[in-house]
Amino acid sequence: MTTMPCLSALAAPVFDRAALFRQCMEDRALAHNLLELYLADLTPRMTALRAAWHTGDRNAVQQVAHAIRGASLTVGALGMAQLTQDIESACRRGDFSWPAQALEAVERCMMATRSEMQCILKQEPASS
Amino acid sequence: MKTDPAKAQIVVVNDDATQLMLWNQLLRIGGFSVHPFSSATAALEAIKTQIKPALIVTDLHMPGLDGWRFCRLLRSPDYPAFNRTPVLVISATFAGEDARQITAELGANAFLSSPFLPSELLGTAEQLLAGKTPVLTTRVLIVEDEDVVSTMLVRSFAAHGYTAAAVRTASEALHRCRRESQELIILDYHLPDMPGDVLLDEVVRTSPHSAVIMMTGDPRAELALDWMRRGARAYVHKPFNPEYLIALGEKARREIAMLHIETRLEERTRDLREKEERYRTLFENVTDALFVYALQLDGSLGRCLEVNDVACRLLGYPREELLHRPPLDFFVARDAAETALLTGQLLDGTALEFERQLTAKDGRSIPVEIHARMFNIDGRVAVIALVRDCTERHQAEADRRRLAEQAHQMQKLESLGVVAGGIAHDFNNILLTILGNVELALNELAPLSPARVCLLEVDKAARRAAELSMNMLIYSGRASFTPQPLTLGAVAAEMSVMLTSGMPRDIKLRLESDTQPPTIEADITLVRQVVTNLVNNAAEAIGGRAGEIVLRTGEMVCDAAYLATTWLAEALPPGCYAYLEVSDNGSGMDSATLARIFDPFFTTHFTGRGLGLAAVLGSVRLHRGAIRVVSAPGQGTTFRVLLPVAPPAAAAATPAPAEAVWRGQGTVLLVDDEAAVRDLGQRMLEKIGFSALVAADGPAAAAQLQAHRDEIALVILDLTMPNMDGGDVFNALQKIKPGVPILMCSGFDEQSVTGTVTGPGYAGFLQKPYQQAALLAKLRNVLEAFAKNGKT
Repeated sequence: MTTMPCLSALAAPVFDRAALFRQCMEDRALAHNLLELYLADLTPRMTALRAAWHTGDRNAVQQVAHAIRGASLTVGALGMAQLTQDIESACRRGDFSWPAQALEAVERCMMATRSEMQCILKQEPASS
Repeated sequence: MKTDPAKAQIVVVNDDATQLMLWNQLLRIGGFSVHPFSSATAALEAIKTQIKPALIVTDLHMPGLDGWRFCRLLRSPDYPAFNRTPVLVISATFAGEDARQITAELGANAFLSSPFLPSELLGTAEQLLAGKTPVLTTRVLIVEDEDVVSTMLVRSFAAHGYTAAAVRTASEALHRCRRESQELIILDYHLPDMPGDVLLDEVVRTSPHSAVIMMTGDPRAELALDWMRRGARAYVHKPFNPEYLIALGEKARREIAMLHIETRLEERTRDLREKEERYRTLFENVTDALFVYALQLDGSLGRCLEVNDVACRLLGYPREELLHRPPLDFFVARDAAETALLTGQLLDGTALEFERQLTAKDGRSIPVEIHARMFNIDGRVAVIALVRDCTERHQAEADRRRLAEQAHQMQKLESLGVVAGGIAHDFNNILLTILGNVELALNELAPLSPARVCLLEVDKAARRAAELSMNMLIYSGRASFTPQPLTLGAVAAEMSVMLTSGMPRDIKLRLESDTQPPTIEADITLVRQVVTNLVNNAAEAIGGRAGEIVLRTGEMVCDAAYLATTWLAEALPPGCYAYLEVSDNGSGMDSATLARIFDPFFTTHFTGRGLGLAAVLGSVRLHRGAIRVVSAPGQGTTFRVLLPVAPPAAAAATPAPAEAVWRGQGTVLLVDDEAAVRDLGQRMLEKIGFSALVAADGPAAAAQLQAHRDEIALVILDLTMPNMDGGDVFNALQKIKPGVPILMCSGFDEQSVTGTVTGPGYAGFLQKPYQQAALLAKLRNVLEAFAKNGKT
């Protein structure tokens, strides 16, 4: 049975700020650095994901999804972590029959995640 | 023993910059000295040379050298210094029973599932540095809104070593599952914020590594069936004994672990299958033949393990047949010493390169280039051989060698031709003097004079010398060449009659001609010379023995491959050719002799002068034809001359009418730098009725013409003279008396005049050496033609 990633299935918020700060032992500067790193890496990783998706390269999709998931779990990007886990699991099963909407779900989640993270970076200065 | 954190150096490895930063910072906050690396390769290099880590923390999934191989290397004999260094593996992919198994597989000391709490990382690091192996705890999450039940379960699980936590709502449960991996989830069906089956779906989706057990007070059997279908591992009806639930949990965890092992096996099988498909595709798409053979203990080739389609096509065997055949002859060494040498080199790991002839199934011999080396396949020693078909390469090399040889021969012919032509030119001037004077002397002598016999011998010798000179000119390509339509059959018939009379008694000359021979455009004199020279050569090859010469003519279609086996054929197009063939059953020739037969002055015959075949070649070249020679010692020789067939419009010439008696009149100016030629020419001209004036060079000729402008009816002008050559003199004379007929004369052929002399005064060409009759005929033609056109 195909498990299709779908943003509406996520009960939790896409970004868990508390989880990030807990991971960083409440070190705000570290949290900021992690978010900046995460966002900087996210753009090329999404580009790689789209390219692999459109060429049907299952191995590449699995690898990029795994990389995004690991980083997302680290910074509390739970939505991205969940969606990429679904993708990774499906790839492991050899299932690669999702419609284009699945990738769109990841794209929407990424926009939402980026937006929330940028709010934190702007509104909660690292040095305060 | 407690390790001072500040002194303990920790190497952390993760390709993801975010995680690497987090691990690095957390460990630094814990007071450790940390060395972060974004690849295992870089970390290995550093720990070999610079850092002595007390702990290594690594991710599993990394490009290049992944965590599995990194850990195995650290525990291998290649890295003895790190065999006992504690290793902590962190991964988001595995948890619970899987994590234990992977830790054991890798020889690691601890495992953390990501995400983890900072305290878990620091605590684990401290334990490892203190020489302790942390116990992997099993997390259980109890989702139950009744406090009594949840409290009881938390205590019971904790008593069995679990890290147990309880939440009251579905949303709390989901949140907790996302934050930390749970090995076991006990889920109440009736929750305040979400139906239990919906939560079950979500948990199964978001925590695929967790074993979920449903609990309910609802007795309906169909509920249990539905949960199991949705992914629950087990269910319990309230009230139940906590020990029973814990036992169920243990069983469910074992099942999940087993399932994961199977999944991983399936993944690995699929990966291997895909990898095999990739290699199979590569193996089958290599453009060369590939053979894999088992290598036996004695170094000989064993059975064939694998071949590709190219190998099957190359040798013409079906795959199955090739796999079951004994080792192919390509690897059979020439002798025992070579076998030992090849085997030794293979076993040393040397890549061998050598050439062999393979025999295909249909018996064809195929030249191949073989690259072979030893390698290990599935734990056994094998030899892989790449076999490249060299047929085309060898053919190309042979063609290149042949073309180079042809070019070399042409160059040699060209340079020898220049020499021969030069000699012939000077020789002809001398012969002209001899023959002309002999002729004049014979005319003056009384019929019974004893000197007549001597002069006739001089004449005979001079004519033989003239023939030699003619052969040299033909060879050099400077002979007079006047093509006309004719058939080789007619020339062969005519010549066979003449040549038979001069043939030794024991040699029979047989003629075989086409009934409808093709017409060619050729110089009949040269063709006669070719027939004569080839038949004479054949007779000399037979020597004093009895033998037969066959003179054969006909027409044949020649393709490019056939023409490539001939002399002088590099520019000839494939098509129809008339041929003249002379074959003998004489001694034949070896390849060394064959290579030189057309060289001038090369001869194997006692009586020959070595110019006959050279002249044949020159003649064939003038006709833009080719010549093919087939010969072997003791098997006779066959020369086949190929000449292009003329266009259909051309018709073979009929014999020319006999010359009428004619006497000259008027004055002829003879210009030649050779005094003997001038003297002879003057006497010949006077003998046939002309008044003759002579000049030794251009200025003298101009002066004579100026002085006798109205008397001189014709000029005979030598082409090659010092100071002013014939062309310049021609122009000077035409200025003095425009339109005066000038007959050019040379020991070279008429082509040497072409391009040098043009204009209305050009009256034709007279080949040296000439005799009185030829001079008379030429002058008559010229003067009659000019008289007819009103030019004089």
